[in-house]
Amino acid sequence: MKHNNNNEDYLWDGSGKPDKEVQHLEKLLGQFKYEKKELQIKESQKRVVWSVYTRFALVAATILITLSGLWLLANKSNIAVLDTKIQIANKPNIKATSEVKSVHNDNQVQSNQNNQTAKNLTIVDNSINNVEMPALKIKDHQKIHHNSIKVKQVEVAINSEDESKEAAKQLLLALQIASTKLNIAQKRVQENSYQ
Amino acid sequence: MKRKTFNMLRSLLLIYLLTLPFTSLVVYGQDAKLQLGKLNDLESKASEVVDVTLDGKTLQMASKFLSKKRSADEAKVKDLINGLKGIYVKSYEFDKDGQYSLADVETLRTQLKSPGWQRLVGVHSKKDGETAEVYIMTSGDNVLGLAIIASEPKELTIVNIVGPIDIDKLSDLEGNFGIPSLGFEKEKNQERNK
Repeated sequence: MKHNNNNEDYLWDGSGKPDKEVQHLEKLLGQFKYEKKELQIKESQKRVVWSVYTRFALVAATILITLSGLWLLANKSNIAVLDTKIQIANKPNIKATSEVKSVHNDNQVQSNQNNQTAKNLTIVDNSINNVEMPALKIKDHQKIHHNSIKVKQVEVAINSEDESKEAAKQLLLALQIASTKLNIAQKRVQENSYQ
Repeated sequence: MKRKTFNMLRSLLLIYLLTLPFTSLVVYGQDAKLQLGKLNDLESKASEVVDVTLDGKTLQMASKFLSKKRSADEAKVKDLINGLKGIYVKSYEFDKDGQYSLADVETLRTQLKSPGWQRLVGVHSKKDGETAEVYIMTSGDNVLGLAIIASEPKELTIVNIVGPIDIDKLSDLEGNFGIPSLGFEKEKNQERNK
């Protein structure tokens, strides 16, 4: 019984007399015991992961650059800058300055637009000067600002309509020339074939 | 090392194939547009200049003004310009003969020799010294652009239309919508005969 107790003590907490059989088992199973180790990823695996990410990044960047390039190409010839400044003076008279800058390839269109801008400028000034303001209060300021915004929107609408009209005129002129020259060429071919 | 090079080449090929549709789109848009900037020097020599530059956005604006309901002619023009990317016209009239050189026209012809362009019509009259050339750019059955070079001793006209244009419809426009018919050409000939 005593012998057995010693064996059991060694088996449970290693305090008793060492048992050869248990020691043998310890040795055999010892190789499976838990050991704390750092996670090791092979170099080849690391490279594969990095390579996939790089490829995705490259493809995404290329698509992004190409798309933005296309967008720029589509919009470069017609960059319209609308810059409107409205100044409210301390006096009852309101001064409004408005500037519409349009960048177009065609100088004629641009000069026409500038003329139109001058016309619109007078429209804006007149419309604002019609507003009577005996005394300016904060609420009135807000109201005027609101009115100014409305004026601005109307002005932009007028401009776009005039620009459309001007563009249509230019278009008809271009088509007139194109159509005439095309017909002349066709007529000359027909004449030659008859001869 | 070999594997690395192979991977790199594969990545490059993948990028190329992915970007190919976009790059071809860019080329598609640019090819039919001629560089007419060199003709600007003629402005100082010419007695009358017509310079019309309508890009895609301006054409859209013009299209807004045209109404299909207002008249059938406006509808025709609206249909004609639908899908166009640009119309560029330069026309110079000179007081004297020989105020522009053949080299000025040759720069345009060189551009029209590039792939895609083909000459539809080429007529030269020795008697009047007139030349009329019509070029189209095609891709399969689609017309991607049109160019007209019309030169007379005292006149040079270049028309460049970028985008899918129906040549028959364009030709039919003459005489419609305030576009005068060939009458003025007849007048010109009569003046010459006098």
